[in-house]
Amino acid sequence: MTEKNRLRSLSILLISVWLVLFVLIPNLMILVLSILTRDESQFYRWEYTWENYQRLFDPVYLQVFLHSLWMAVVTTLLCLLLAYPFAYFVAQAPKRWRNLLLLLVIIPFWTNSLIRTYAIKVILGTKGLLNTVLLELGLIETPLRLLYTETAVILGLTYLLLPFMILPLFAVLEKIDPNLNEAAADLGANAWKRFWRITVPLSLPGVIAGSLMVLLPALGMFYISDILGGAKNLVVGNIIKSQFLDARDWPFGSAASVTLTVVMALMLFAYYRVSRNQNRELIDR
Amino acid sequence: MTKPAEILLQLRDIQKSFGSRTVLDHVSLDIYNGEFLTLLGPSGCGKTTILRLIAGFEYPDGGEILLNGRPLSHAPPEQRPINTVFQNYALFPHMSVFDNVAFGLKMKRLGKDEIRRRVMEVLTMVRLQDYATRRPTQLSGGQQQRVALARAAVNEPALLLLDESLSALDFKLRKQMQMELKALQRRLGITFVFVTHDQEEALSMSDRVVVMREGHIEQIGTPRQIYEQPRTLYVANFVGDSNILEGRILRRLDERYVEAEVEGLVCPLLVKQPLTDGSPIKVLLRPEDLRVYELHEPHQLEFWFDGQVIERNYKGMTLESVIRLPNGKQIIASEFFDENDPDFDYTPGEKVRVGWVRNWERVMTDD
Ligand SMILES: Nc1ncnc2c1ncn2[C@@H]1O[C@H](COP(=O)(O)OP(=O)(O)OP(=O)(O)O)[C@@H](O)[C@H]1O
Ligand SMILES: [Mg+2]
Repeated sequence: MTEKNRLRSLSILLISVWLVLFVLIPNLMILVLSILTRDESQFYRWEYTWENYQRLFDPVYLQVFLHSLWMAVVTTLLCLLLAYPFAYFVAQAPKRWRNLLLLLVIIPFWTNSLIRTYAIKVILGTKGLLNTVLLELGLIETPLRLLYTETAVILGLTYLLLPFMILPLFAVLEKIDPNLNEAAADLGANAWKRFWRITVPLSLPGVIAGSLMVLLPALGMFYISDILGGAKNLVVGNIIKSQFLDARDWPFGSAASVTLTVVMALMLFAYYRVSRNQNRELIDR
Repeated sequence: MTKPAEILLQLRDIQKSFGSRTVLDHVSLDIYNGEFLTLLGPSGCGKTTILRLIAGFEYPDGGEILLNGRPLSHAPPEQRPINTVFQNYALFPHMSVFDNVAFGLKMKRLGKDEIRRRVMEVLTMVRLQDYATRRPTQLSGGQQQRVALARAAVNEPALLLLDESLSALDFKLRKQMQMELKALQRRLGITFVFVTHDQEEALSMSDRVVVMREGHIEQIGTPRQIYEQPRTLYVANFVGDSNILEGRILRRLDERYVEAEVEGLVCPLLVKQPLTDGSPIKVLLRPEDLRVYELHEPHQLEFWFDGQVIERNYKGMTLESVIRLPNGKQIIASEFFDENDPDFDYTPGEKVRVGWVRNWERVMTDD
């Protein structure tokens, strides 16, 4: 018994230390950094200021933020549109098929996402696979400009983030009691009405969870826009990255990072509040 | 209860298998308009499967289902004027009680006012009018069950299917729901097909009982017929307590009676079946058919065993005694307490006479 307790205390301690070292301290550092002043030679000076946050409202950054949000929203909708039918059919599939199908979703994770992004670049390039095929088929006369466009960024984000939409959707769809659909059919609802009145409302927590898991990273994945987007299609993550690496303005980069974190946290909190009620009903059943 | 003659639903020679497993084996059954029919049988005998075939969740491999004489063939559930009360209720968790009950009417695209009126009417009937805005999860098991019932009944279906709808409830609530269900059925005049594996429930609620066994129908009859004239030993054993005595026909006395030897006792038995002398028989006697007398008591028995009481159980209204016959066989007798005899009781070990009133026995052959 005491042996067990000791083991438990030890593991809790280890986890706490880990969290403090790798989560709490870095975040605190960023937080503090965000209210310090930039210094050319030392990166920062111990001089408190809110200026970094004020600068965020500069139209230039606001525009980047809005454009990034727009691409993230489109990405989320695309993912939802693609993932829902897939997750739905996997959830309906016989049990032994389900794991295999989910495995197929997860396998691409085994390849580094950077490499997969370069693969997309190879496909979309002016002399890339897609253009070559379309030219050969005679469907187009001159190569399409696909790379370094908004579309390319959205495509890349969608491709990389799709699994994060599929998995939470599958998790809720799989849990819906098939009896509910039978009951709805029994009461006169055809397949279309059953889908909209039973399946969709009951899968809403998964839709929200999946949307957050796509939307938030889509704001931050700077290497996608670096590789596929060119100079005009930046995401919020690009700003943060460039402040740290190129402009050497750590305090401002920190302020941007903190703001993004806060926005994400607020969205997660809203989701938590909504889903808690929904989940309670599902659990109490 | 007079039997309504009009046939509402007909199962004709239904076969159904899942994989290599035959679940229903040539089942035929007529369901009359307005009756309360119960499917009774042990777990896995195919009761739910019959309901699912009627509701349209499954389709038969062979045979036909006719509603008002017309084949339902492959009509999907949403096109059948039949509603189900599911065993686990299957209430929609994201809807209020009102919306749950209104679901079927909305699917029929009735007007808002009519939907409101009918839903509230049914909710009042199941005494849940004050719970209309609650979510199903905020209700007790019994209340959820009533919502499930209301959700099905509000559509005024031709046929209402109830799958073990009471089995999840505790004893008291269950008794109460049994009465409410009966009352509701009488008021609505809807045909009910009720599934249970509780024989007492089946006997007390139904106009007719269908006793099932491993995918086929063993007997169909009124509760009284099933109890008093079970066609087979299986039915006799499944419905109510029974004593099955082993015997052998000695000779025929006349058209109605034979002389037989039963557990060592030679007695006349009512046997109409043409059985040859020497055939083995089983004699069914319900515990309440038996009469027990202390040795000094006067009695009207024509024949009896000299038995010994080995156990007695107080059952509230009745006294149940386990009695050992001379050949060692044990039987159970159940007697009402006699108000004129306050000392009515036996002591274990006491010698008694035990017999039955002539003609109350039921003689069966092995099946
Ligand atoms: N979808 C299915 N696939 C395979 N076998 C099934 C399926 N549905 C039912 N069965 C089998 O059919 C048989 C009858 O099932 P059914 O559910 O009709 O029994 P039941 O009489 O309702 O039993 P219970 O009282 O336990 O509910 C069982 O042996 C069951 O295992
Ligand atoms: Mg069943």
